[in-house]
Amino acid sequence: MVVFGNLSQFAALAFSLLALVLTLLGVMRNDARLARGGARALLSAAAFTTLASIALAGLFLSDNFQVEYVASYSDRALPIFYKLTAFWAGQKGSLLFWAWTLSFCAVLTVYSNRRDADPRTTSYVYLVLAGTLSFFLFLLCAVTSPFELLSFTPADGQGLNPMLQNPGMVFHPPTLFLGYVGFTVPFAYAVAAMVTGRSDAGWIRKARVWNVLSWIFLTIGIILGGQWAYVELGWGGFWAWDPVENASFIPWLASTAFIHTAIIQERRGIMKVWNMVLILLTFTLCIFGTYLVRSGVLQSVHDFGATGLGGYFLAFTIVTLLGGIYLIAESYHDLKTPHVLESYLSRESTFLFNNVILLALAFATLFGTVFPIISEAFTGNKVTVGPAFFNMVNTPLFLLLLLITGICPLIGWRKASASNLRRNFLRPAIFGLVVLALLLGFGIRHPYALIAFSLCGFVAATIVLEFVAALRSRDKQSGESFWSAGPKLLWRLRRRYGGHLVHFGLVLMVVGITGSTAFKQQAQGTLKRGETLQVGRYELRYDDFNVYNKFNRTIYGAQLSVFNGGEPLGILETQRRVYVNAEQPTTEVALRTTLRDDLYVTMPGIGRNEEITLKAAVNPLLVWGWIGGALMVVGGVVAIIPERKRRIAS
Amino acid sequence: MNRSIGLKKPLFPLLLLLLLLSLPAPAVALTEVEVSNHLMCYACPEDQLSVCNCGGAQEMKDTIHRMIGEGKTKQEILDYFVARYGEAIISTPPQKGFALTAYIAPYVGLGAGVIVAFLLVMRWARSSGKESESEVSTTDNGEPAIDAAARERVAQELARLEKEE
Repeated sequence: MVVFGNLSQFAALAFSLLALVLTLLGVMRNDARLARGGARALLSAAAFTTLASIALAGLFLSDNFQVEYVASYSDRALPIFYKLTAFWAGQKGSLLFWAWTLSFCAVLTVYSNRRDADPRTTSYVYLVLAGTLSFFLFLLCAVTSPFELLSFTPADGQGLNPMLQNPGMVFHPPTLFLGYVGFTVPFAYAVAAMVTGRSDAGWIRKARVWNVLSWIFLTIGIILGGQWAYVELGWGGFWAWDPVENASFIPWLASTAFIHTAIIQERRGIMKVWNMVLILLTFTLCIFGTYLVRSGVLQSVHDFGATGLGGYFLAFTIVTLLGGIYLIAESYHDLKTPHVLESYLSRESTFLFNNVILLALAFATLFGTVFPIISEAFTGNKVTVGPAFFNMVNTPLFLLLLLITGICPLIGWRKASASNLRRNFLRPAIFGLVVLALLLGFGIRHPYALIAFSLCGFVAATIVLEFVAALRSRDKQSGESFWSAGPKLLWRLRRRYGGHLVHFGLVLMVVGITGSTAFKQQAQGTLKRGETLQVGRYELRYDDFNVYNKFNRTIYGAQLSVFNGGEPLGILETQRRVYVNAEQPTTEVALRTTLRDDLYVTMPGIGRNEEITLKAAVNPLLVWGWIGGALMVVGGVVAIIPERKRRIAS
Repeated sequence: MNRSIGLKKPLFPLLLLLLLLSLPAPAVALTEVEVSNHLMCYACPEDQLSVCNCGGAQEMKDTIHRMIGEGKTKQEILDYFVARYGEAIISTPPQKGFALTAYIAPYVGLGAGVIVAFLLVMRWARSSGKESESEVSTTDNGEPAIDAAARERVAQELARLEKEE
């Protein structure tokens, strides 16, 4: 199996390099046959990458601990499900997974271009894909092979980090990788468009689907990561502004900006240069993020350690960035279009400001993330940049972003008339103010919460009112009932309303984040059996203590009865778990989620006579953040389902 | 763009909000996370306190919890930890000297971006003003009918392509 995996990996690299050479020759000699050969070589590379991945999965399942990677991330007692997911638990396997996903994207790209009449463009697309795939396969073959053997066979492996033995961890890395990897394809289309000079809307339509798809996966990955942190790490938060989290958030912001201006290019044929810049930025930031994570230059909870890969990723980042800048400069004249806006106040101009804010957020996050390095270089002083800094710097930018999320859709394409604007703005603004007044009436004085919730009201109102107005006008024409027409309208204009759904999801997410951070309540206490702890509106009574074994762990569980004003709400169990092969016990959170708030209980300490230390928190409205995240994903999916007949949204 | 009537409406609630911000507000109850977000763990100097789960971190969090209970402010608690473990225990860059750039740079970037975007919009809209004299007509669905300038561009593009072939 090890030999098989190794051979497959090398064969994949060979075919990937062959694809690179063939497509390169193909574009140089303008020979479509060579390009087709390149595509076939790319498919073969994908097949062998798949075989190598199957081999690694097989090694995990068969407990082959002579393989260093398997021995480091698995053991005999590990449940079979986690044996499979240990595949991407470490540096080497995750790189193989990355290469496999990329090869899969390449297959899809080849398939989607099978009837393409423009072999020159597709050759360049394959060239970029083959180049990137070769880079990853080279790292796997030459620098950090997952099939490396130990000089002896240990009796058992070291096991998987208990914190990674969680369902969220199963899907978080692959979805993130799919996001990162997916951006290679729109980048490849952009490169092809620049080199061939075909920078019309053709490439951007193809790139758009890939970009939104990657954006969806990145969004899912980020949200699952937050969910995992929330239920597994036991500190009660979902986002810690850790360098690795930031490394996923920064390209997310850049690609969000691209999604918006790509629409402008599609509709108006302008901002071509800017779109190239954005897609280059998105892709480079993905690779640069990987560099940050895997070079060991920054401290992070996602410790891949100093892996010796940093130099390669940095080199790849620099080559991509310089190559991209060169291409943009070279094709500047082709790309340059006379920019004409009919009015100062148009959807196009507000999108420009939305881009500025998104990129300012990306810049702020990136600058904060690398600031320890910058500071050390300039002053010799390695400062730390923690969550409080990011909250302080980014929150106002977020609120601006939320404001413009509300304003953009109110302003029509091309030219917004004053009376139109007044009509569109008035009611949402009033609604936002009503929300503000109500909050003030309830005695809420937290400044950011007041601004955030009022803006949420404003944005939500713009979305709902727009939809209702569109329904009404449709209603008049078709005579259909209000309720049956709604889903139909959403489906018919799914690009537009998919976008609105994403915005609505964002609003709910802000509600969840604001509610749970601004109005969090925490309590802590050491309890004997029968004693209670009060947190917010809840009362927790410590009833019982149990110790038992399950799978590969020993569980110490405390049973708690939950009351709200004397009324019993049920029983929760919060646990400490000691895993076979793990040094430190882990905390298992007891969670009671309602639409109003989350009750979040951990047990950091167990004393003598089964006396326990409890930490409890009430996180108001948090569940809306997850609902909002799900809605953002759904909206993204709705927006990329192809519309059969291309029509202009009226 | 701020001259237009439409934008005054959302500015109004914003101004109101700014006004409200300046009003004295009763303090919101301080939480442990709000304090620990500013701190590193003394036992694992590489880790943020809020996400660290080691015994030392637990001890620090217990202390924070106790001091909040005693009615201490965030600054008082942070000062206590600085006195005990030194400046390195604070996880945010100091708001002075070189580290100040970390706070300022994003907003300088934002300001520059807004100015550039504003100038671009001005320029583009003005250049359209010139063109509108030649009357850009639109078709039924709102798309512009092809005008003389566009026709000229198409001709140039075609000529260029032919040269390439």
